[in-house]
Amino acid sequence: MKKLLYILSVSLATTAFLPSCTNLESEMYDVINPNIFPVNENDANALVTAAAYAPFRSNWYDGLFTAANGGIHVIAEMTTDIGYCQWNDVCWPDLLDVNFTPSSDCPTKIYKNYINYIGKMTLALDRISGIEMKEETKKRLEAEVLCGRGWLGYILYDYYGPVQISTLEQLSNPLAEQIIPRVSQEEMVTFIENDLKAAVEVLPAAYKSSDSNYGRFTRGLAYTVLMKLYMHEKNWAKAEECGRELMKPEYGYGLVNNYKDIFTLENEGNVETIWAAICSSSVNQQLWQAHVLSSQYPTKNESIQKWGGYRVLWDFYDTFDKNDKRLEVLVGEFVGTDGKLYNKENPGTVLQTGAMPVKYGEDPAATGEESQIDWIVYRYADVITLLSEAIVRKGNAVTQEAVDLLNMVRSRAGISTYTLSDIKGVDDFLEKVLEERGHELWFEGARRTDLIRYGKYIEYARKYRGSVTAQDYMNLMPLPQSVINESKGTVIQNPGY
Amino acid sequence: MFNLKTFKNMNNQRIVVSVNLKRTIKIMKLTVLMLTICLSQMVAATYAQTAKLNVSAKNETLENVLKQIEKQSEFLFFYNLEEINKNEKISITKKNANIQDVLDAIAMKTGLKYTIKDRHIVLTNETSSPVIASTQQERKVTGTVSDAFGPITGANIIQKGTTNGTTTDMDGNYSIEVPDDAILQISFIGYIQQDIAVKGKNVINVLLKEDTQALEEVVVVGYGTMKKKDLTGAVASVKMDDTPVGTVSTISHALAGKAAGLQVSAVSAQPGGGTNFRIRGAASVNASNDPLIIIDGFPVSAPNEDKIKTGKYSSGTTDNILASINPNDIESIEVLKDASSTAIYGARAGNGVIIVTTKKGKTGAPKVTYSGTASVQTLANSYDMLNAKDYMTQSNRYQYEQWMKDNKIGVYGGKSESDASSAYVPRYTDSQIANPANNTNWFDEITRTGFQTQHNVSINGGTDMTKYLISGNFFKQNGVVKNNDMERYTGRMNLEQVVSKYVKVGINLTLSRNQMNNVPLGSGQNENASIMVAAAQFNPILGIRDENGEYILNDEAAFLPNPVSLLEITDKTTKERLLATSFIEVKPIQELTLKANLGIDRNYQKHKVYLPKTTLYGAKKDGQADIAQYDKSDYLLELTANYAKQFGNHNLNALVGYSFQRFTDESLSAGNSQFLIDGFLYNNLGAGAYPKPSVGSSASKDEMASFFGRVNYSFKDRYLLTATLRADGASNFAKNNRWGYFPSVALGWRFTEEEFMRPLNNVLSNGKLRLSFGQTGNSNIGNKAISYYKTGNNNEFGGTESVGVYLDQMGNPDLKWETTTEWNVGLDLGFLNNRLNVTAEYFHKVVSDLLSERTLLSYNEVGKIAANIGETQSQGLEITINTKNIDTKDFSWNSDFTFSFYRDKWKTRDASWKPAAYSQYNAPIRYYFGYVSDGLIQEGETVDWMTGSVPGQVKIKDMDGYVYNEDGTMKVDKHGIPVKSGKPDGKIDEADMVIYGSKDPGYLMGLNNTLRYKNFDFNIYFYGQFALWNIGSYKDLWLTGADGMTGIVNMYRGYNMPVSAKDVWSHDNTTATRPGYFQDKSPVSAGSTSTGKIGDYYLEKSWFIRCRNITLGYTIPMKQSKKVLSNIRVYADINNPFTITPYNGLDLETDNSVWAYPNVRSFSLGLDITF
Repeated sequence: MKKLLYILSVSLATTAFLPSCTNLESEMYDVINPNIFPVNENDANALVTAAAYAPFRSNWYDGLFTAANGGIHVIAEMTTDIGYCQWNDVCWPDLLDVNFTPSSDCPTKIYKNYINYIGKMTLALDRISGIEMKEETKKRLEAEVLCGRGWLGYILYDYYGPVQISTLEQLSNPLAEQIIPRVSQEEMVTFIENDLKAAVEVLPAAYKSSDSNYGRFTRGLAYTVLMKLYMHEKNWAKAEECGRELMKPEYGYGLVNNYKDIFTLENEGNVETIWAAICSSSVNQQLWQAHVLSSQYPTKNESIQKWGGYRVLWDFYDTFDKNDKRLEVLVGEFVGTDGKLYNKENPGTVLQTGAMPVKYGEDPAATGEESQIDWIVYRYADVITLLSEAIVRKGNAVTQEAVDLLNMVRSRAGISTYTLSDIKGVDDFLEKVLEERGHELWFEGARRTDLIRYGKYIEYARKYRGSVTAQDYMNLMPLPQSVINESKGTVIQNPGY
Repeated sequence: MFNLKTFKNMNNQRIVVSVNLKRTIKIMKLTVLMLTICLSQMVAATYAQTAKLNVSAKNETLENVLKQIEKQSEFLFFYNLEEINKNEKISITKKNANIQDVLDAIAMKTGLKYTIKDRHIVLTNETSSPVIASTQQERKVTGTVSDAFGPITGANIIQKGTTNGTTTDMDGNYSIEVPDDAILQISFIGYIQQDIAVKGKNVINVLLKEDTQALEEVVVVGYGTMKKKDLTGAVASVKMDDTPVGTVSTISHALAGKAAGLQVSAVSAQPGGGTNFRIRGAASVNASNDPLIIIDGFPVSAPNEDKIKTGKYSSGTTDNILASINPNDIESIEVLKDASSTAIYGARAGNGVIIVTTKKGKTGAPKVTYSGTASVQTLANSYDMLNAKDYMTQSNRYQYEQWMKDNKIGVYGGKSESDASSAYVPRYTDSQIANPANNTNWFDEITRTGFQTQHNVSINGGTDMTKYLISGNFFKQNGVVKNNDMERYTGRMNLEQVVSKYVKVGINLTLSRNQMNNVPLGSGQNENASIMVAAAQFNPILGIRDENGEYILNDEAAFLPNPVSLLEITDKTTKERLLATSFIEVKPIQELTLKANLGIDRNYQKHKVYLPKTTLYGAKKDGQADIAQYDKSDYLLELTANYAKQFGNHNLNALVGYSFQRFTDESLSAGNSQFLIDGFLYNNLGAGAYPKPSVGSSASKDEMASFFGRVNYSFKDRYLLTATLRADGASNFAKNNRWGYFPSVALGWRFTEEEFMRPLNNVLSNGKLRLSFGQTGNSNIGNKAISYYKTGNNNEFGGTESVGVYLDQMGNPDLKWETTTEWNVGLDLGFLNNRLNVTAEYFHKVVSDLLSERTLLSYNEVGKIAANIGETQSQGLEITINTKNIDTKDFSWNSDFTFSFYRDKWKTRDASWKPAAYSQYNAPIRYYFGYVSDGLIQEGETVDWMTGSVPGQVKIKDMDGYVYNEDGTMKVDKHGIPVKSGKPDGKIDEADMVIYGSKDPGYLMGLNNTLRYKNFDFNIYFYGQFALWNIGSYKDLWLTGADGMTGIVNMYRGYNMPVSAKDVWSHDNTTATRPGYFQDKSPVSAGSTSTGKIGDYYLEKSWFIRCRNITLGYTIPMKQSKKVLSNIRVYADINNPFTITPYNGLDLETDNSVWAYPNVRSFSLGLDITF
């Protein structure tokens, strides 16, 4: 008995003083410890993939190019004379009525969701700078990050005007809560320009679709964004330079023969595409058709999800020439799976507000809302029509070259081309460019910027959207109220809001 | 005086379980130094002559020798400890001897005297006064001892000042020879002792009064037990014997309103639905507010349900922490509320502690109990949706209104109908409306009458050396939603073994398996619509299946699944749990107890889902199978030493201990689609042809170590002191902040023990004032001190997927414990011999270094970082009243009333606080906020600040505007809150939002009544929540389209609506109070408000009183002699019979999601048998 007691007491005592008793450990086995990362080229690649490419995706509800209400193409288009959405989720009315406020969801969420990517890219540059790897690859990766940062800067600038640009020092010490005011317009433009120009120096002109780097940022992309920046700044000369640069054979850009082929699975990586957000069955799928098609609209692949949301307003649809081949994918009339004919006269609940912007081809493998067809972001038709505009604006005269450039897209659409004599002066030509770009680029995110550049954005909102709330100051979208609040008032809201 | 250990005769079982229990507890904690025997009344008078004994002892203590005799005979020894040294060593050998021989031998060795009375043997020493004074005249006194319910068996009758005594027999009769002038002391455990002078009487009948002083009641506290009278902290004790548990699926559901200060809210009404526990409110802002739950000494934590979330739908919220415990196994639940009680649990006790104690074996013959119930369940309240005719009529009305608005007719623009560009075409013709093709009530199609049954068998018993309890439970519920089932098997073994005089070992073991068949729940919309959402929205004029047997879809919204088709989904959850604790207790000396406790809590959960091709989504995916499993094991090592000693008037109890815990978990998930046949379900994932099947896994480990100590000291039983200190180290903080120290001290004064209070004792029988102060902690934030990268944000380059890596968490190395500092004042009062007991508690606590996520400035890489972000404060009052309204032999009526309220608010904000215009520095912690409404916009009314609004929309008040500095920056006050101009600015924005009020209920109440008449017992139990802000029911919000709901405008695509759709504002119903068809088009931006564009339109303070159950039982009287069954009770129970509330939704308590599972009402029959 005593022996047992002794043994017990000793074992109790020893257990109590095991070294483990205050040496505590936490382990998380499914994440990466910063002490061992990043160290090599693969790590650098992974950092760049997540920092520089993540914002420029169309991946379900994520990315600047999502087909849902968080995507810039959708948000912008819904406020112009083109887009409409039949749904009544709370995010839509503010857009559709052009009733932007700092509490509105869609108008503010690009800022809310992406301002931090400027910082993420700055930090990525810092993190890969110390990695020992092939210098050439490192330079390219750095150029990709700069291209991404400049591009994101432009997108935010286009929506909101100058934004907050964070420095590495500020980013490294987030607990210091250093409030950053918005930069000046000049600083903003310089920031974008510098990043893009640095990228232009390093990046290759373009990747073939067979190239293992296809999908990465290119010089072609950087020049396209630069061109858009210069158009925005009304620097027609520099815009023209960019446009001419992109016409050089080293880029290999051209127009696809049939308009509707631009947006199909078979023609991914076509010559017209300057940059597309890559979608595939394994990673990143876009939701365009699900947002557009109605249940009654027949598809070969019956599994395709059809929510019946987005429309192109009838007024805009009616500006098309009836023979315009672009209407092949902008459907104003169809026979439904229920055997009924739907059109403007017999809209049912399907076509009440407008035509169905089918645009993209079917993904035969889609099993629901997802599609693996690459999301076209910038294409050559955009560049040549912009170039046409830039040439005319710069010289304040219509040139044959400008008319020819515009005719390229018209002839592809199967409609009559203009001769110089058809044009009744600069203003008439610019009107024609605007209309043509509308017909060519509907729901590709160009319309809002074009209308603002032409000074017609608010006018059109009142005229075609019936907006009673649209105000001139709404050329810029409001910053989220939370950003003003968190800055204790230091960040100044866009005027008017 | 004798120190007696008495056992309740098993045959004298009473219906009053609570009384039995109380007695049992008292028995257990009596200072037992003596001999133990089961009394038997079957002893023949000649027993002493006939019984043959074998006694063999070599240098054994007297006590052991006597025990030897008792073990082989029915003799019972009585002696006075002050006279007799039971540890005196003797040697004796007797074979086949009668008792007299043996006793003679003992007397010779020890010099003791003995007297044999029947089978009772009284030992005295020579110096003591003679047992029977021969000079005095002996008198035989007989009588009966009884209590309010009848005769008491085994009551003690002792001649005062002597060792002369006897006990009552089975019928409560006794007989004793005493001198004329003797005084009889009649006592029985649990009753007030009576002294009666014989004074020449021959018959003395005694009615014993129950000792209602619950003061001897024992409550479980951290690492031990305490007498209730010695408590200095705020502890509420719920004894489970008066709670009908046969009809509940989890014990959580039985606790609502039971203990003041414990708020129990059902999160979901589904089978085994989850429950939220809050002790004294929820003053932590982000770190979990869940109390620490301790089951038989093991601090358990809920397995993370997210880890087994898989498939397309939610499985709802099920109870994860107590669901594995068989409600019938629970002895008591203690709720430790103030810091003085909880500080012994230190860092994990910041939100209070709930201690669950399971039943243990009791010495005595095996007692077998069976209890079983069978219940039917019906919907307590169902969604009230439009039928086919009404749906068509209302659709047409909507259509007409839309047409008017599009053409700016009448109230929408003043034009006349003839100006319309196109004619109005009704959606449904009159003949269609008159003869609907179908009239499907989709909720009827997916619901059924539920059934529930539960069977429970337990055996307990034991000897001095071994005590055991074994129980098994089977529970099955078929929920009111079709296919929603739950089955639970639990087994328990509690075992205690005395190894030697010094050593005791024991184990508590629970094994459980819960199986659930889930139905798709959740608030997803469209293709993600759950069964509730689909049933609410699906068109009533559609049938279920077409002529080909295919599920019919709504052509205009073909993405919305047919609700009945969702029943084809196979969705099963299995949860297994092993909770085992084992202890070894060593008592090297009388005063010292060393205890080692080892435990494991292993949770294994698996969730399997298959969406067959017959469902909409399954068809698209060609069958979709998903499996997720999760393994979580917590380990515990606990060492304690307890020292208890009484020095005269000083009573000291000291405890020190060490505990070490390790928490490990791992998860695994996989999924595939494109299956050839549905038949595989999820059992052949490899057969799916999907090119990229999903896989995932994770694992983690955390540790925690603690040192703790406690001193309880009392002087003269009236001045009480408790002091504790605990040090906790948790691995999830950085090394420099790892350890937290949590002290507490409490004082108690039992003022009724004071001399000057004596005169009042007839009225005020008990009074105690308590004051406590202490600190506890909270570390429940996860691993947030370290930064880490995660893989994700992948992209594809050149046809190859490229993995991305991003910083997912930014660590905060300065992160430290959240600390709760709490004051508690408590007053316990007992009146009229404690027939009325009142306990009142007031507490005030401050939670500092709040553990939460701090929002970083938007430009940062990550949006949030874990941080200590300020202080909140909470105060409240709790009152518990127990009364014995009536207490007679045949009829009794007891009531328990609880009342509590608490107020939580911010005290100090961190400098990083980022307020909005509506923010308040001292705001409630959880609040509703939004705009202020001002009725509906009427015809012809223009609201300048709501440009674009149409009549019928809710008018929002323009309250305020911002103020700007000259440089264009916005003006803020010293806390950073935007300064408001105090006048309307023509815009509706955050400056117009206000905080409505706290999301927490204002007052909580519970009222339990137990009545007993002869063999009938009756229980009715109410609880309620009052002053509870409510932002609207489904009848309101499904129409207005706020809060994730769709809005009446969805009638355009054939969605159904609640019947309240008939009451919306329209051009021909302009006096309506419900907002019109175009509320969703209101130009007001919803922002992140709680209520969206309608503001506080439907906001109201609401309340409910729920009758939780009504139970009527009858105990069938059994003839004691036929000892097969000792007790049978049958009962009928209605669970949730009615709720009194002004709320017009389904159920104010469980409507916390807008597509809530409807609450049920159960009708049960039950049977309890004790063998």
